[in-house]
Amino acid sequence: MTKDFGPALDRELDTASPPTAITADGIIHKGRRQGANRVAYTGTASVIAVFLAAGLVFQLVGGGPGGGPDGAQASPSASGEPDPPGQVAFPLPDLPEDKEYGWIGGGGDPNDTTRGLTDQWWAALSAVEGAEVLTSGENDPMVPVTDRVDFPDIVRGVEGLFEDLNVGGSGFSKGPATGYSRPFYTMNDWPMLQFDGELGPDVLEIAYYPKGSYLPGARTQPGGSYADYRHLTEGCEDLTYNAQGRAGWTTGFECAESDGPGGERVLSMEITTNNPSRTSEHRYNRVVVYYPDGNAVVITDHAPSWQERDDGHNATLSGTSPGLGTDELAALAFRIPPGVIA
Amino acid sequence: MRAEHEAEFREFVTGRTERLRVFAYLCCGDWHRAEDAVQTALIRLYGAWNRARKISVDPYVRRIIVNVLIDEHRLSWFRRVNIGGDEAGPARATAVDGQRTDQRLMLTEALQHLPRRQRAAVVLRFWEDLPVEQTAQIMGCSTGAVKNLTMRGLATLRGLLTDSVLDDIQGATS
Repeated sequence: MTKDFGPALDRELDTASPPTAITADGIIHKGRRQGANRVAYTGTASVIAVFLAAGLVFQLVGGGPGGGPDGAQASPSASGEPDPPGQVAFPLPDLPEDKEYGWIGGGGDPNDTTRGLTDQWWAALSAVEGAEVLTSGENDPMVPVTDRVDFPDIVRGVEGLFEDLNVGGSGFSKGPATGYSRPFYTMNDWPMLQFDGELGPDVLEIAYYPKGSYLPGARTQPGGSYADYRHLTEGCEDLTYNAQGRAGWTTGFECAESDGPGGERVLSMEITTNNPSRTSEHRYNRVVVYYPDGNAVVITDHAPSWQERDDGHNATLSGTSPGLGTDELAALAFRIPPGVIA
Repeated sequence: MRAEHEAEFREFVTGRTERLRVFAYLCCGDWHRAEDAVQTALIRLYGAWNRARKISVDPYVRRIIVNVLIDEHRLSWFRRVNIGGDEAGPARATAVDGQRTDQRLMLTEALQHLPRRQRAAVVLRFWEDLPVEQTAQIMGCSTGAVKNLTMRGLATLRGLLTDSVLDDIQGATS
């Protein structure tokens, strides 16, 4: 029986398996997005439309730092404070509007600054009441973390801006480098928080970006689900988009703006994403905090939700809300600024 | 990720996705859930590629899939079922002849009647054709436990399959 078990199954599955929507491009896109909290590429909006939109979102967040390709250098900070010692602006380049672009790069190694950030994040997350910190192990996707040494390091990464040759498509096709790159601080593995009484752990995504390397506010690449390459998060409008060839995924945003105690500006977002047949749902709480020195951080608490079957084989969507609210995420951002990003 | 490593990853995804998806399906009996599990595993693999490529990638990604789909630890919050129907299950195999189609369906259906860990052990051992040691590594248990699970799984399958199906599978009575 065992000898022909595999071949017998293969014969059936050769004809029974439905087509897959998974593509290497799609996986890499999502992997980059999780790794750096965004992968974005620009659409084909006109120069005028983009400048209008940039001006609009600048107004929406009250004139955040780095308000344009040259804005960061001309206007050092939202609060008028001088640049911190050693902080260099990384103003975005002027690029043709009829082409699309995306970021390629990722986390690297820790340095003294990022080690200090890791210490602070470990202290903050391990003190969250009613939650256990988890991370992914080599052979186990969820391993409890009880010591700082096992907590994922914040690292210094560098990412470059490349032309996307797949204009208008859902995948990214690497084209020529624009020559622009920026450092950022992120993690190679995301920490997770398992809250008491919740069905599954939340995934916490953290990424710091330097002054001038982004435009403030949210903006979605046209027709897609990712952030426009100039922005740190996708938009605050409800979206329907295609994900890996699956049409009809919807994302709803609830966005709010506020001020922090130290002159920060905060964009708070509650995001819900559903697939077409509503067999899964993902909820995110996200804050983008723009520091007075021009740097910014994006923190996302991602809680997946799942279908549950009752005794009568009926399925209901079991909602799991992110354990950390946007106020708590913002408080963490206020408490742990990045210092100099270089 | 460096360009050469990303090219390696891309090659892995292109070459292994279908096999992983079928593996996940055999473990859970639900194509939609299998697809989600494989996608989750591959995205996590992307973040861990530099580390995983230095060890053995296939067991690493299978371990993630098994944990997502099967382990008791995850099952309590991953009890998804299909409600759409349109994408839920596999289309029935095209009948070459009635008898063989019935046999195939019976074999797949019988597999889905096994307890999840028995099912995973049987799939890893006899569909993936992995040795006991590697199956134990992926399932996070001892080799003795794997032998026990497969023995019980095969015994259950023999009880579920009809005599005619068993007769059609070489060595069924041995």
